[in-house]
Parts: sequence; structure tokens; C-alpha cells
Amino acid sequence: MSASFNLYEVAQNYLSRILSTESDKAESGQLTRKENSSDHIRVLLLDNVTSKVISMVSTQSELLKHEIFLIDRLENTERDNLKNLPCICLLRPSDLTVSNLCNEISVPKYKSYQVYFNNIVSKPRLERLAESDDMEIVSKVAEVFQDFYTINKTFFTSINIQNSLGINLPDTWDGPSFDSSLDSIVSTLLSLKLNPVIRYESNSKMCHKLASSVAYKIKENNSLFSDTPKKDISPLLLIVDRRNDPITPLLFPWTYQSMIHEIFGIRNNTVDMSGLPNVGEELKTVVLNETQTSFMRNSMYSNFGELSQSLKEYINKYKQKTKTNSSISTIKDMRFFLENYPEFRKISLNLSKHMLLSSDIDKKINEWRMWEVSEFQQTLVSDSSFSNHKEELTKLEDFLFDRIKNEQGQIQPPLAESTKAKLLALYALKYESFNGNQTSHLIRLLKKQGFSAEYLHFIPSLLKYAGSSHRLSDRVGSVFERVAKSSTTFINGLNFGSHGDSSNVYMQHIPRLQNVLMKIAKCSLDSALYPYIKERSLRNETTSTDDRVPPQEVVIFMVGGVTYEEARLVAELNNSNSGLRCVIGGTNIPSTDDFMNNIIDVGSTWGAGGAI
Amino acid sequence: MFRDRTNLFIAYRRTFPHHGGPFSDEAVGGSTFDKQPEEEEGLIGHSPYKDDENETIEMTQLPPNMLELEEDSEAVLSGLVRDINDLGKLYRDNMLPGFNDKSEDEAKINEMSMKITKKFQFLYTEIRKLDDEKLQFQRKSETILVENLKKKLAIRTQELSTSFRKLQNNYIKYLRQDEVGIDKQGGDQFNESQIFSNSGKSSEEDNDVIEDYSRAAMQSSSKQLMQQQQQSEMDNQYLQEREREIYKIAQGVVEISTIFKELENMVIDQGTVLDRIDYNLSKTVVNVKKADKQMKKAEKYQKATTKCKVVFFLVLVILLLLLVLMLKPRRVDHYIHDGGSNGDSSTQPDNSESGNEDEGRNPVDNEESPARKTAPGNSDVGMNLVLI
Repeated sequence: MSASFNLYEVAQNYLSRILSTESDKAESGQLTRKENSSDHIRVLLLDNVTSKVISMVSTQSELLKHEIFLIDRLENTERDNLKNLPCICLLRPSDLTVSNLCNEISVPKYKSYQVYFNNIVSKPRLERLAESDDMEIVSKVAEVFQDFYTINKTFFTSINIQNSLGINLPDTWDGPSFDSSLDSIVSTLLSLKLNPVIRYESNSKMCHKLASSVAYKIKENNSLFSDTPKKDISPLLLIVDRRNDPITPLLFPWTYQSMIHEIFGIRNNTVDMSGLPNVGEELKTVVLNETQTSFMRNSMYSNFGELSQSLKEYINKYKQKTKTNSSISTIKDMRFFLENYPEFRKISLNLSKHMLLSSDIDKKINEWRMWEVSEFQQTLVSDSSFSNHKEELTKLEDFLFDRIKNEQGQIQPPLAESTKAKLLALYALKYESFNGNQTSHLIRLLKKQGFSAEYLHFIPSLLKYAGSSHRLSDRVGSVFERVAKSSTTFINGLNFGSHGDSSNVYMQHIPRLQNVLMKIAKCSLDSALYPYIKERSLRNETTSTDDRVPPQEVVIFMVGGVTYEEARLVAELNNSNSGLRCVIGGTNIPSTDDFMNNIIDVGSTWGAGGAI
Repeated sequence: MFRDRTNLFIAYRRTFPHHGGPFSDEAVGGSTFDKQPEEEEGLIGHSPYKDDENETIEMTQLPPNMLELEEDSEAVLSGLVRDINDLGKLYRDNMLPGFNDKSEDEAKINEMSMKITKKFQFLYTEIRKLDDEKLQFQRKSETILVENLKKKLAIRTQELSTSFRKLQNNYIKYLRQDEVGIDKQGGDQFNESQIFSNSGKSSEEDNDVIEDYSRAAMQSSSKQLMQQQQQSEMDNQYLQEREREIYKIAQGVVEISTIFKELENMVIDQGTVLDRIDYNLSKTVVNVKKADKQMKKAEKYQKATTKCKVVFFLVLVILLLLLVLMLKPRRVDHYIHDGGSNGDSSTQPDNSESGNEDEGRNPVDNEESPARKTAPGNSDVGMNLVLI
């Protein structure tokens, strides 16, 4: 169990632990089961958070199999009295939920309560709960550790964070987001049974604050963390800041899962498609889950070209299957069909889902003219030298002022303002320290044209947030990396898949995270730039050797938002069997628009926004 | 990681005096204030009473037969799992090549599969029964409960029936292959005399590669018919027996297939939104809200009906009064008219009005003198009015 570095497996373990206690007893002896026969119709009580957490790792029918026949929310005050049914609660130990639960058990609606909290519950809260348990109706209180959303196998995010950046000053936390991030990291560490050494990026106060708080939490709950299996090499928790790579969340991504998120927005693993025309009732909201179908598992990280290829194969497979029963003439054919009927149905539903998604992605790419825009984005960021400034500036101006012509010599329809703002932001970031920098000039020109002021404020805010002076200077211009340059992708068996392919114009840029990961694998993370949290290193005398032996388990947490592209890198790293296992998390998953809007939102409060 | 905090919780709980718990007496007895505990007692006395009330209600709310149903089906299901495992073992044994007479085994197999088929049918009726059961409940959560129970049973039954049918299918496949093998032997025996069948066989083998099993089986059985005429009596009998066996099993399969298809409607589409926990939760919330709205609407309607009644009553009263009103002055009218034209008052309301105006100048004359003159006509007009 400790060997698994898979968040879904962790979730399954927890679920079976919570749900199957009763039937486990039943299996050991049929007699006990008969005695309390009504006990195997059970109620599951969730709160607003845990209902989402559990939805992302389990399904209704799975719960049914575990004899959960009624699921309800604790917040729902209109629940019926069902005094003959036992109840299982899976709740977040937040202040509100605990007081809700206190109210619930002082006027119980069910026969008995088994309370599971999805994170560490503090003693005062437990005491409060005990105080209100007047009828001694709570039979069990336990903690499981799953206070995060499981997005993919090795990808999680904190709960309910929109924008983790604080107002008034850059590099500060938004209060609730900080608590949520801390909770998610602590519970992830506990669920994976890790007692890590903590490192963070030295230039970020946000990282430092989070890292030291995690260290404090670990110390506070020493009994829990010292229970984790001892390892020769301490696992590593690395807390990094989005500001050190502002490029990745500004680029249009080209892999399937990222594109779906960029275009439609993935919320808790569901995509709302009801806004699209001609969508059947079944496809209004679609669920995307890595564990559900092999097609999603296989193609979530593939780029657009590969995706259409695999879709084609999928269709062929489906056709072949349906062809065999297209002529149901005999009883035997019928039987064959019936036997595989659910399977057919599943495939056809799944197929139409992915067809719909990919065809609409294609539509949107054309509508937004992403082919040309993205190509320019990639050439802009995949090279850190200033030598091409002139050409790139004219190209940028063409895009900004809609001068691009198509083959017929007609001027193309204008680009969306947000697309232009992103392009300008990339230019501003790249040529920030260049003498002939035209950013402010371009902004002035755009202002004259009546360009949205919000988007114009984005550029200075972004530079304040992630300008070159605020980024970690581990290597000059490291953010602007292209694949061709980093021919060292194969290090210690580290292989980042086929996507590191410089022949693909649209995927030349590689996120900075890859560099960091490779440095972790090579043990060459500079301890001045990535310092340890002190308390831990004192207790664990092994840090000196840690510098030479690469850690085997790494949890990376990105403050300020992580992208699906970075999650893909980590997934590919895990698939490469390099001995390095990694889980990545973040405060949230911003699309390019989310990223921009977040900075616009808080940037306006950072003072003196206009001037550069 | 997992941490059980029950002990800590119980330790905490012990430090608080509890009303309903074993410490309640102590807490009450040890108190120095006499009045306060008395007051509290009243509350305590009230709350258990309330509890009892609730419980008695619930006893009737969740009828034991639902639990029984669940339990019965559970038992049948677990029995089915065992049976199917046994059958699988039997099949496997039977499929092993051997010289023993297998007819006994085959009888057992038939018996077993019949039993399983019957159990599936029983389960199906059981599931259908839950539908009726649902109608007994008024409260929403209970209907959901039964609905979910139904779904769960459907899922379990479906899973089992799939494995059962796969098993049977494999067995039929095996029997068929066996047959084809015999066919081949037969073909070898009559090699010289039946060239056509051999050529047919080779093409069939090709088909076997290309086509799916089921079609091949069909082809071979049609070939069988042709060959049966030419094969020896022994073989013939043996094959017929085989055919019968296959037929029996196939019959069972088809029977279960229908059940299977019916179940399909009940099972949730796994992998779609309908299977999402939070979706279902929010749906129930929405449903509750909708129900609330509907209730409000219904209330409105109800209010509206009382209004309607009042309005209707008032209208009735008005009509009645009108009738009375019309009776009186019309009598006057018709006195006048009856002087001129008798009986036609219903068809000429305008005339009567104009007549009224005309005669209005000297009402005293009209009222007094013609009334007595046409006394017999008066009763006629009254009759007419009643008819109207």
C-alpha cells in the first residue's frame, strides 16, 4: 500500500475502509449479519466539500455496491428522520461542518453515526463534538486523509481556490486559499505516507510561508508523521511558485486534457457542454476521468494530431464491433449482441462524447485562429535571445493591429482582445530587459484604439508579479527554453515522452518544471535557491547525503496555479520508470484566461498600476 | 494513513454529563438546585417521549417486508455466486477430455443451469416487486432508498447474469467445436464418397478465421443437417443428443437475455453524469426546490379554488336575485303587453322594453285597469317566465 504512488488507489483504500467495515464482519460469519439485518442499508452523509472529493474518485453505482442506499448532504436541513438506519459521515473538519454535525447529533435523525473526517481534526473540535453527543450515538470517529481534489493519477489540487494571490501586495497569500493549500498538502503527505524534507523557492514569500507552515503542522502532528514508514532517502516536498514560470500558463496548450480545460473548462472532472448547439441530453455534462475508460487514459496527454489518429482508430474499432451485429438474423447473433450490449452502449456513449469534444475543440481553434497565433507564441518564447526582436515586433504588431492577411489578400477577422493581451504579455516578458523594448509604446497605441483598459493593466501587473527581477535566477532566461536546446532530456533514464519534439511547431516550448524535475533527479538543485526548512533538516541528519542521492518520492506543489501541461510532464516522468515517483499539486488549475483574470483582479490593488 | 480517534472521542465524551446517557441520573441527583433539575427533567421527559413517537412512526414507515426483500435477494445472490462457480467447475470438468461416460455430468449441468435460470427469474420478479413497494412510501428519502435498492440489485444481478451467460456461451462453443471435430472425423471417414463436404469444410475453416464464432456455429449446424442424413445411426443419435443439449442451454440463455435487457433500463449508465455522486446530490436539492415550488403553486390553486367557490356562490346569489328581480318587474311589463299580444313575451324582449317606455307616461292607468281586465292571461306569463 505504501508503495503505491497513485492517488486513485489511495482513495480506493480509504473508501473501502470507510464503507466495507460492516460487510467485512458479515463475511467472517453469516450469523452476525442476520442479527442486525437492517444495518446493511446505510446512509452516507457528506458535506459540500467531501461530496466533490468523493465524486472525483468514486461513483454512485460503486457506493450502491457498498450498500450505501442514501446519500445526502449534512447541510440539507430537510432530511427525513430515518431512525432505523445507521449513518456514515465523511466530512471536512472545518468549523462550520463540525458545528453542523454537532447540531445533527444532538437531534439525531439516524440510528447511529460513524464519523470520518477527511483531514486532521483538532482536539477542541473533537471535544465540542463529544459535548453535543448527548445520546452517545456516535460509534466511531476516525480520520482519513483526503482533503484535496484528485484530478489525475498523480495530480491533485487544493479545495475551492479561485485565486490564491493576495490583494494589496504581490507575493502575498489570499487568506482562505492559504489554509486550503496547507490542508491539501498535509493530507496528501499523510495519504501517501510521507514524512518529507521540505524545500521551497527562495525568491517567493508565499512558498516560504507555506513551507514553514507545513513543517510546523508536521511537527505539531508528530505522532502521525512519525508513523510513516521509515525510508533510507527522505521523500521531498518541493514548493514552487507560479511566478517563476509565467510563460506556461499564457501559452495555448495542445494536449487533449489541457485543450478541453482551456476551451471548455474542466470543473471537478466534469465539462459543461450545455452551451454548445445540438448537444443531446446525455452529453450536456460529460465526465472525464482517467480511470473510467482506456481511451481517456491513453489519449489525455496526446497532442491534437495524435488525438485525431486515436479517435479514428477508436471509431474503427467500434465499427468493427457493431458490424458483427449489424445483421442480427439468428438467435446466436442476437445473443452475442445482447451479451455485449452494455459494452456497446458504453463505447458508443464514450465515443460520441469524445467526438463532440474534439470536433468542438477543432471549431474553436479555427475560430480563435489558434494555429497561427500559437505558432507565433511558440517562436516568441522558445528562444531567449534578443536577436529576432525586429521581426518578432512587426509580427506582433500585425497581430495586435489586425494586419494579417490570408492567401487571398484579405484582412483576417480581428483577434479577441484577450488573445492579443496574451501575446503582448509574452513579448513584454521576453524583452523586459531589452533596450529597444516597445511594450509601453504598444500599450499606448492600443489605448488610443480603445483597447480594453483591463487587459492593458494586465501587462504591468504581470511584470510586477513575475518580471525578470522577481523570478528565480537559476539560469539566465531559463523560462524561454526550447526543446531543441535541451538535448539532455535523457538523464538518469528520465524520459519525457515523445512530446519533446522540436519538429512540432506548436510544442517547442517546455515548461520550466521539466528543468526542475531533471535537477531533482540529478541532485543538482542549488540549496541557496531551493533552501530546506530548517527544523526538519536538524531533526533529520540525512540532508547532507540527500544532496547526493536523488529522492525517490517527490511531491511538488505549485503556488499560484498549476497547469495540465505540467501535470502531463509529471505523468510522463512517472511512466518512464526512472525510479523517481512524483505527484504534483497546485492551488488551482488556471486556463490562460483564468491566469490573466486572476492577475488583473489582484493586480489593480497592487498600487500605481499604470506606469512601467 | 488512517487514524482512529474513537477512543479519544469517547474519553472526551465521558467528561461531559449526558442527559440520555448512563450519567444522567448522577448529574440530576448531584445537583444542589432542586428546581432547575426539575425543569430539566421536564425537558428530558419530553424528549424521550418524542423519540418514542418518532420510532413508532418509523416502524410503520419502513415496513419489514422491504428489508426482507433485500435480505432474500441478497441470499439468493450469494447463492447464485456459489452456483455459478459450481457450474463453472462442472463445465471445466466436462470439457476435459476423458473416456468416462459424461451423461451423468451433463444431467447435472442441465439441472444446475435450470436452477440458476430459475433463480434469475426469481430475482427479477423480486426487483419488480420493489416497484410496488415504492408506492407505499410517502417520504422522499424512502422512495430514493427503495429506488437505490432496486438499482443495486439490478447491478448485481446484471453482473452475475453476464458471467453466467459468458460461461454458458463458452460451453456451447466447446460443444460446437467438439461437434465440428466429429464432423471432421465423419468427413474423413467418408472422405472418398463426400468430396463436396470436404471442400465445404475447407471454406468453412476459412470462415472460421474471418467470421465470428456464432456464425460459424450456425453454418456448421446447417451442414450438420446435410450430413446427418449420411452418417451412421450411432453418430446420428449422439449428435442429436448434443443438439438437444445445446438447444436447452440456448433456451436458458435467451430467457435470461430478456431479463437482462429489462434490467438494463434500471441500471445507471456507468461513466456518465448520472453516476456522479455530486450530480445526484444537487439533483435532489433541485428536486426538493422544485417540489417546494410545486407545493406553493398547489397552495395557490387551493386558495384559488376557495376564491372560486366564493365567486361562484356570489354569482349564484346574484342570479337568484336577478331572477327574483326579473320576476317582479316583468310581471308589470307583461301586464302592459298582455293587453296587446298574449304569450309571445319570450321572443320579443325589445318590444316589451320599448313598450314599457311608451306606456311609462301614464303608469297609473296601466297598472290599475288592464291588470284586472286580463286576469286569466297573467298566469300564462308567469308560466313563460318560469320556463325561461
